[in-house]
Amino acid sequence: MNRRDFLLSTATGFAAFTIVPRHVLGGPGHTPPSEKLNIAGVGVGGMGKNNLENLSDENIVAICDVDRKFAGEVFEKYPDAKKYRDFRRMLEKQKDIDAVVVATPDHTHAVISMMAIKMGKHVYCQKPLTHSVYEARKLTEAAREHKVATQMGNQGHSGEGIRLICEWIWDGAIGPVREVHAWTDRPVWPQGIGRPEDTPSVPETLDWDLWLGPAPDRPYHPCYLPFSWRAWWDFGTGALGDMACHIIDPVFRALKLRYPTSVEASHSYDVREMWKKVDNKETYPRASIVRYQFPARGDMPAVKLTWYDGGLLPARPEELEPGRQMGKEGNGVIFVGEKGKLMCGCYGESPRLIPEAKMKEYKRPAKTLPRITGGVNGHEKDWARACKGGEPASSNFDYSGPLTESVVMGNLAIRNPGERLDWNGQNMKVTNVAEANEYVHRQYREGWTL
Amino acid sequence: MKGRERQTDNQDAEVSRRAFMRGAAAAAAFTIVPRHVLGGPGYTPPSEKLNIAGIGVGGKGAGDIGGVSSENIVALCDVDEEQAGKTFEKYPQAKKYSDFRKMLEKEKNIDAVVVATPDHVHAVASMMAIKMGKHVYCEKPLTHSIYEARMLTEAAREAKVATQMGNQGHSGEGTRLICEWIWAGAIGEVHEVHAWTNRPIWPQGIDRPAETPLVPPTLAWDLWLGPAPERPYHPAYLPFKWRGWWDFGAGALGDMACHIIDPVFWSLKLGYPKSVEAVSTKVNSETAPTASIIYYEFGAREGMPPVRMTWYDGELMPARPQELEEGRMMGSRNGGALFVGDKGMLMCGCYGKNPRLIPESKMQEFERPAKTIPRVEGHHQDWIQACKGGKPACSNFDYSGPLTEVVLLGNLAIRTGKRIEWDGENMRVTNVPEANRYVRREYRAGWTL
Repeated sequence: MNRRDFLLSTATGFAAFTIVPRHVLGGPGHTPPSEKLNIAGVGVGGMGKNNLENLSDENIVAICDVDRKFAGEVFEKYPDAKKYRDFRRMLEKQKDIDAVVVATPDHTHAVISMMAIKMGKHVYCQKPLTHSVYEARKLTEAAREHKVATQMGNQGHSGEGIRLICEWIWDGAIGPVREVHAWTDRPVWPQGIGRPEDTPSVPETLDWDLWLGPAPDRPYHPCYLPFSWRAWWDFGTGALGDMACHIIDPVFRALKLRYPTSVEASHSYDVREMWKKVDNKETYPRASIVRYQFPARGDMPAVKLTWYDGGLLPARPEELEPGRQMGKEGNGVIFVGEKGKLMCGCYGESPRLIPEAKMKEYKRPAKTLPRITGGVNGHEKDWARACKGGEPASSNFDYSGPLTESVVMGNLAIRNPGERLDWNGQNMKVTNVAEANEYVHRQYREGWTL
Repeated sequence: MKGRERQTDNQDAEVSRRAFMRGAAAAAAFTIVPRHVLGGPGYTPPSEKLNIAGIGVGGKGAGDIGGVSSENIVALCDVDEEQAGKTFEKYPQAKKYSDFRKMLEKEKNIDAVVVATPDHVHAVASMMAIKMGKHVYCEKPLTHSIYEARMLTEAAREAKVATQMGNQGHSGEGTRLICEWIWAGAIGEVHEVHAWTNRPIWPQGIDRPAETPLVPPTLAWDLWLGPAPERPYHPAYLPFKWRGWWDFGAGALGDMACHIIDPVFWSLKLGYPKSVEAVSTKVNSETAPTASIIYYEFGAREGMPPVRMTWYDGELMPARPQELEEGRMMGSRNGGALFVGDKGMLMCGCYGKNPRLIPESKMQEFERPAKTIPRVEGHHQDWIQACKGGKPACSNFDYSGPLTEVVLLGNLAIRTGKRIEWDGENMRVTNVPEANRYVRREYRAGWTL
């Protein structure tokens, strides 16, 4: 049994695992839980930088980024790590990698994570897990099959807030929940815009072809990166994709949601000339409302989940005292129960029954859900423990894959506003509007496969 | 023989004629009688023609003048010769003006005016006419600010002139059916209404242009600005696009809510809301946002329970009701309204058109009540009859003033960005003092209401 095989089997093999020092297991080729993982980072200029910092107890053995300038600081920070531009070459060449942290733009999450999983490497991948519903499904299945430890980068899932929300709702604090509202103030980058016509030359620090990865070919433009790729259909998943994996996460978990039965959306249009709405198929809209309908689950009734972005919000509940912030800093959730309301911020932060008087009266149930050491800042380490044979990480793909599917399928509705799309989650199919299925799976550019 | 020919040289006769018509407008029911029955010069009996002046005749005004062209079109006023060109040509006998103040002072034979300028001029033009005892047909929204709507409504009542706001759907069959059905309990008690529009179809959410192109020689820019604050001319403002600019228009809401909310306002006897809250894409101090949602809460009224009305614009939509069969459109192209009652749902298009209980099977089962609300023969004609002593027009300012106030309150909420509590009687936001600056606007020097 080589070192990676050991790590592989322990990730799923043992329910509880006590950390033992290396000499107990003995011999080279094994990496006991007390040993360090060899981690490679792919896409390290943005969120990946933080993820690697939170894993700095492990060995960062390789770093890959297509943008030398954006990743420059991180490249310097880990002088011992080997540097790559192409993750495929890195994974092929460097045999000592145990685990990979993927924090590229959304459109490359799946191809990178899949290659790593198929090579038996553990994967921490940023949210949303994938760019398409289909990719999320395939990645989830592959991770299960290859028995690797996985975690999606929705760090709120390791926090105290989401656990309190689950415990309170399961305790019946607000009674059965039939309605939930969730919102973000994103996008904070330009959306509702068309493809630029000018074609500036590619900076020499950027490998544009690799940045594009599986996405359709198009000329380089600085409007796509860094970060603002989120706006573009070919690369990002809009405000919904950016934030819903955080904001809807406590809803998904507390209400035990899985696939919706239908989804419908409406969104804003830009108008630049009289009578001409920009029917934009390039970027996501500035503002949208996505309405999900989930069926009854176990003893929980059917529930409507409404998503608002771009400055749109649900009506302020009358239970919320004047002057009190709704949600937290532009993001939040309101659970509407038969017996009361529960409000929280992004990442499930600061949950409160409203009005505050109800919170004060409430007899909190016992904290029965296991807590993650370090809370939201322990999310990466939770995964590292799983990689070393601990229990599956809290937001492993068996959880975060379906969450991502439900989030990104909202974009099918944004693409087809005004239609209620009936969704067969099991088969990943819109059953009543055939053309809406176009974006369930994206076509890859030649040379790229999942 | 036309009235104006008789009276051009006789101011006193003109005054008494108008005084007659004023009194007649207030009379509840009035049968049209031929001229010879009333007899004598100096009167214009209902069978005679009105002398009508148009203020703002290039856009919607062209259609409005067409709508009243059964009468004498004696004067036309527009600050934009090019935009108004066709209408000017069409009525060669009408005197042409660019300043409505001059027109009203000079043309003594005007009985009634049709105001179809940009929103920011509605009130000053209508008010001057009302104070001179002239009947007024004014486009929707009646005014640019809540305060103006209140003042105009009160002035019209005091001057006893016949008024009508240009929400022509109010004269339609649909609006009446909706009232009759809801009053007959077709969908039970209504606690929730959704209303929406596809507007704006002009740019919103933009900043003030920096360049200052020359004013076209055909445009009197200073008069176009009227009471609005001074700013350099730019084609971003006209024609039509003024709707998006806070200084001139009232956004998608102001454009369409007087049509779309109209059947809600009437059938549910709404009056003033208790609170209003708006959410939207980025708000700026120059233009209305690209898309918004406005949550209105109304208290209980005349045996009707409190109701929450939600407005959506910029193509935002309420949830599609389960009751609506697949493939069926929600509302009509320009928008619609959905009444949610405790016993069913009623959906209609813009202007209250094509009301249906949904699902359609409920509509088919429904035993329609008797048509008890009087029907109207055309929105313009309804007003003309009122001017000639018929019943008040159906959307006279006593109705359309408060409707406009409620509509414009949504813009106050958008600009305030907070849930506001509203004391309608006193036109005051009670919980966010700074919001009150949007109730009334300052006029440029030289302009008064």
